[in-house]
Amino acid sequence: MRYHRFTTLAALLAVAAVLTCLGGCGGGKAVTRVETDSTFDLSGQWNDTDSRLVAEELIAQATTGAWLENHLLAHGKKPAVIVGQPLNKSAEHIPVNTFMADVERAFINSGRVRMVATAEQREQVRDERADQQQYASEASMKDWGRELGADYILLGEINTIIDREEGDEVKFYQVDTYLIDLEDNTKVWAGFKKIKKYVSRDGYRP
Amino acid sequence: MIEPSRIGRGVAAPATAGALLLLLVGTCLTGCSTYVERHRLLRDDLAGGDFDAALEVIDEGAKGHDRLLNLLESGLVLHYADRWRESNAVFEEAELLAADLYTRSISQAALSLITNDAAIDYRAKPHEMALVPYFRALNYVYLGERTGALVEARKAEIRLREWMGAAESARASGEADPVLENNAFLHYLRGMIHEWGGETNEAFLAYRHAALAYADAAGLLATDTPPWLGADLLRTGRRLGFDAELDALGRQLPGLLPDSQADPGETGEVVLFLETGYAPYRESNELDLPIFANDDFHDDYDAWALALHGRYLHGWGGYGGKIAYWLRIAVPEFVDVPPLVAGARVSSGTVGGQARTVRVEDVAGRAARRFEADQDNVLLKTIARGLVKFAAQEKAEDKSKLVGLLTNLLGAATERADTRAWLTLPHGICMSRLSLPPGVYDLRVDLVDGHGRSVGEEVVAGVRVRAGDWIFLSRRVF
Repeated sequence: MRYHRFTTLAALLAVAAVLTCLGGCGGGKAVTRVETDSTFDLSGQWNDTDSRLVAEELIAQATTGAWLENHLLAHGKKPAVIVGQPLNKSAEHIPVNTFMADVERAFINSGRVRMVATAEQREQVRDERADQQQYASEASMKDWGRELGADYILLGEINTIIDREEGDEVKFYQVDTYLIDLEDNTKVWAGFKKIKKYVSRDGYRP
Repeated sequence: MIEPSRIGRGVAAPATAGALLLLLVGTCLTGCSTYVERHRLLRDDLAGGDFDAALEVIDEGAKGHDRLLNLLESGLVLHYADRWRESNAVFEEAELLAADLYTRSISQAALSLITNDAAIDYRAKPHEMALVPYFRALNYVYLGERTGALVEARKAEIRLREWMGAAESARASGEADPVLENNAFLHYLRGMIHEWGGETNEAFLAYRHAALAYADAAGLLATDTPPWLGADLLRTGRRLGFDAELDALGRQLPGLLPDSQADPGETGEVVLFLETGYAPYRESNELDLPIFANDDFHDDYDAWALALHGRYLHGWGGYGGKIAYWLRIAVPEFVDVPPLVAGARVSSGTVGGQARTVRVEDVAGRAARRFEADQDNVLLKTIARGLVKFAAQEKAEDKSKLVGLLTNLLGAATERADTRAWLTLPHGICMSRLSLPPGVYDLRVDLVDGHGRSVGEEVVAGVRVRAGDWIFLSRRVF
């Protein structure tokens, strides 16, 4: 009798253990194609959904901003814009170029803005142009010194505020973007997007 | 009263089922070897520079519940193999897993009560996770990605804030160990990275935390406050106009701040981290505790476990009763092998002179304090598990001697101490800093033992110094 309660407990624990062992043996790999705008939050880290939400918001703000009309009124021609290197000032390794590329693409496709190639892209273009000087026909060869200088540079940065205690975590992301006049450094447009997430973890699982 | 074992009375069905169940559990277990035994060759492979072999050892020894450890070991081996991007990817996975392991498994905990603690997912110790941002930041430095290193500095700040917050509440009840809940080195590292990245305010705050944490650790860990820290505080504090904060810090930690701010001139900062030896590890140590014939705890197993705990700590000579049974348990034993290399003299040739390293992080000391802090709980749980196995065996013997024997064998076979720890970590980290004029240098690192005697030499060749820039380097010696 003295060990009855104890051994019953041990047996129950053993059953739980066996189920755990067997449970761990199951499962397999499955790949399912999903829509690119579907939302999956797995780890709570910055993901494709966040990037898409930021891009959508910034595009909506940038393409309807007064800066574009003001430029057309003042200069009578489309503004030329270049995308600068966005800064990641957050506490996560975030690929910031993805949403900046989305904004750039929206500008291009709107037909109302001329986009200048980035510094990295320009290097490649110049290499190609240099190559042309040696190998292309005179008729097709492109001249030096005819690059378009941008009127504005699009700069952006992302910051985070993260508060964490035990299993709970609140993550706040703020993306700020600015269009800056390259001649006088005035900011002609500012866009932003804020995202807040709450990540909770249970203390126990079966 | 403990009833003496009886000779077989035939095999009863429930007892057989119980034994088979336990046998099945045993089969499900991770084998009989401990983590340290499965990774015997890992340290030799790493020290010998055979990184592929080291990764193979980790891969072969990988068990489900050691997933986090496997990632940490792999991440570090990849770091030393100069496979920095892969190392970062593996460390990232480790950090995500560590966060998810906040959720404890009830079934694993239950299983561990009848087998051993290795049945539970390994959750890294804070002093282990504290070094992940260090190695990852170095990976980003070597990849030439300053932004990545800055992200690691910010992540470190969040982690440290969390630990310090937990320590504050625990300190009120006298439970917190200020050394274990904070990490001066991590503060200092992130301060330097922030300053390198032009984030002066964050750098100053990190330096201040580092100064306070090093003061807290004085005499408790084998570390010294880095002699450059005072000048770092003065430089960043003055740049920000934080005179009041500097005055307050000067009063709080007399002697920390230099009297005047040295003019750095047109120099660059070379920071060399020297990682020495291997962190302490754990062995499984088997020992026997007596159960007396007159032990009678009326089914109060907590009290029984406490009594056996007392026998472990103080012996049992005064009990005088008849020993009915020797309870065999396996407890972890802490093994610390100090490295031969205790530091170094770093020379850049005739221009920059010579600098000594200072021990800025005591991994072994932290591991020892953590081991001490956990020891009582580990021991009590181990004894309780031994009593569960003993009770199961007694019950089985009531039915059949054979089943009792099998139960006993199974219990003994599964009795292993949890020896898991991040084995490839260094014993400690030393640091040296040199302010050098722009140029390319070959740094001569004269390794010394605890008595200052030269025991070897390393050369860090082709260090390019630019004015106003920081260069972070690391070397591991065994």
